[in-house]
Amino acid sequence: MLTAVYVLRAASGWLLVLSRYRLVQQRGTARLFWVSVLCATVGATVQIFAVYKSVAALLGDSRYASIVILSLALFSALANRMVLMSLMGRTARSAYRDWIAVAVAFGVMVFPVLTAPGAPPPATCVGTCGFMDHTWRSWCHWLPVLAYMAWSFISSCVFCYQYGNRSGRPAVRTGLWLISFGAALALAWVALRVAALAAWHAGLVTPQFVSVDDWAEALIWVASMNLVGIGAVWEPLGDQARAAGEWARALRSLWRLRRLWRALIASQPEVTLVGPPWALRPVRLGLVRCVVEIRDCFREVERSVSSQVVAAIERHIASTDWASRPDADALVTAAVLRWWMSERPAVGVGGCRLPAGNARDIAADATWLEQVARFFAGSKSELIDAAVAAARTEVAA
Amino acid sequence: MRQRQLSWREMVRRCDELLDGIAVPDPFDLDEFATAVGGRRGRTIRVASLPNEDEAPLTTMGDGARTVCGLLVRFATEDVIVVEPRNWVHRVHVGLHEIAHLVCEHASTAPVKGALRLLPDLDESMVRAVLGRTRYSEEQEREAEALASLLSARLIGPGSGPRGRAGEGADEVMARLERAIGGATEC
Repeated sequence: MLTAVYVLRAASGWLLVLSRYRLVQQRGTARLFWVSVLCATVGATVQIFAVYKSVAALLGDSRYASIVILSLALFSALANRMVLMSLMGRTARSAYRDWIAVAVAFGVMVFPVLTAPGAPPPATCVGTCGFMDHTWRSWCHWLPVLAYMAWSFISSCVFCYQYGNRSGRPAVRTGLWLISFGAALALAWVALRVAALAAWHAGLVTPQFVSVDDWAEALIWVASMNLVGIGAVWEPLGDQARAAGEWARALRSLWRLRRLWRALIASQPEVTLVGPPWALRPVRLGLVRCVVEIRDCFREVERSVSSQVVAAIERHIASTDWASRPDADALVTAAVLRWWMSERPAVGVGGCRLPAGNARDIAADATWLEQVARFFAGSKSELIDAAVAAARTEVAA
Repeated sequence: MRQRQLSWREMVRRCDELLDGIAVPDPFDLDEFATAVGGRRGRTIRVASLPNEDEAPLTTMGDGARTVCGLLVRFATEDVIVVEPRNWVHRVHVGLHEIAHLVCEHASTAPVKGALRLLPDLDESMVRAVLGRTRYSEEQEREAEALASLLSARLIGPGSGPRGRAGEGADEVMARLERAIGGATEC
């Protein structure tokens, strides 16, 4: 079961690495963040029992495997600190001091292993508990690493919380708060390691304690890693979801407008720029062409249809209960188009004004045109036929 | 002299160049955008509408005369864009088409009858070029229309709405942070 939690932790880390890489790989700061998450994820992967045993067997000593994990944790913390420095516009000197701190922590971490090579792990140590014994060496091994990691997490937690409160973009604010909370959980992990170390040193460790410790630290890491990762991709993910929704709506609009476009373009093929708009990519460019070409055709219709026809159609529709409906303008437009298609008046003899609609972007105008397309294609056909007949009678008279 | 036809990729690049560094009004406003583009080009760009609905449509002169729904008149000191459509989206697109002519440095096409009666305050002798939005059989019309479509998709197309106040009123660190973890806007 515990192995499953370790695998879950590593898997969620890899998922975040991949999603982060796909979403924002072009940005320098994000790349540093990606390095940070990658190091933490590789470390988490090594902690899976089977992987840990393989690495330990490869290196010849389980403590070396522990050093690999903690080295990755150190690099992850370093990359995290560099992300913050880069965001805060700090000088290279600050980064240099962090490199010195990491080098010292690394030296102190490997020192007890180098001074006592081949020392067997304590009998109570199971799983991936790493370097633990009752001597000063274990403190030397753990404390500088944990201290540097704690400093990195505190910086992240405070920075993200402060700037999350100040951000004017809700998605960025939520993302920063999630990162801040994730960093706070990681601090809880550091506190748990210190408590475990103190318990080891005091000789209070029992197999139950080790089991609880393993579970707690694995679960805290899963939660922390996911919160930080999700927080970091919160806005790009939101953008992707929004873009997918807009893509689907644009595609739907193109589908609904296709019959109207075809009918109008059949008589005015010269207004097309590159053929059927649904074949254009990206889809939103196709929607722009579709709307603009339909509007260009409407303009030609206005030049061919007299105001008398439009007035007759409007009067007929006003005499029904459609007059007060918000889509009455679309109905009038569809009826005028139907009259124009049936009568084919010469260009230049008209001069009417079709309802313009009040849309302020392409998507809204497409929605209005969809209503026209729906009426034009047959919805409320009887009403439109009657309006067209009334207009025909009036013009003939 | 015949100009080289722009590829689609070059047009996307030109669209990026045009929008780079220009404060796009939010919500979008053609007049403000034209002023911003003109400011960067060092020439005033003015947008004018047909004065009233009873005006005769603008038509090109000569054989096979056609109506135009947009017009660009280049004077020595300023460029004037005249747009006819009443539908807001169509009006913006036609205006962007004329701006695209400016960006692509297109040459004058057929004279447009009645263009200057719309601009009585300007001297006809100062006109350097007149371009009207007609059909796409001419290469430069196709080019301007394609660039206008890209601009329309970017400025008033789906997903072009406000994304929040990116970096507005925040300090440099906030702006960097939002750029780092915020999403990207594509053309």
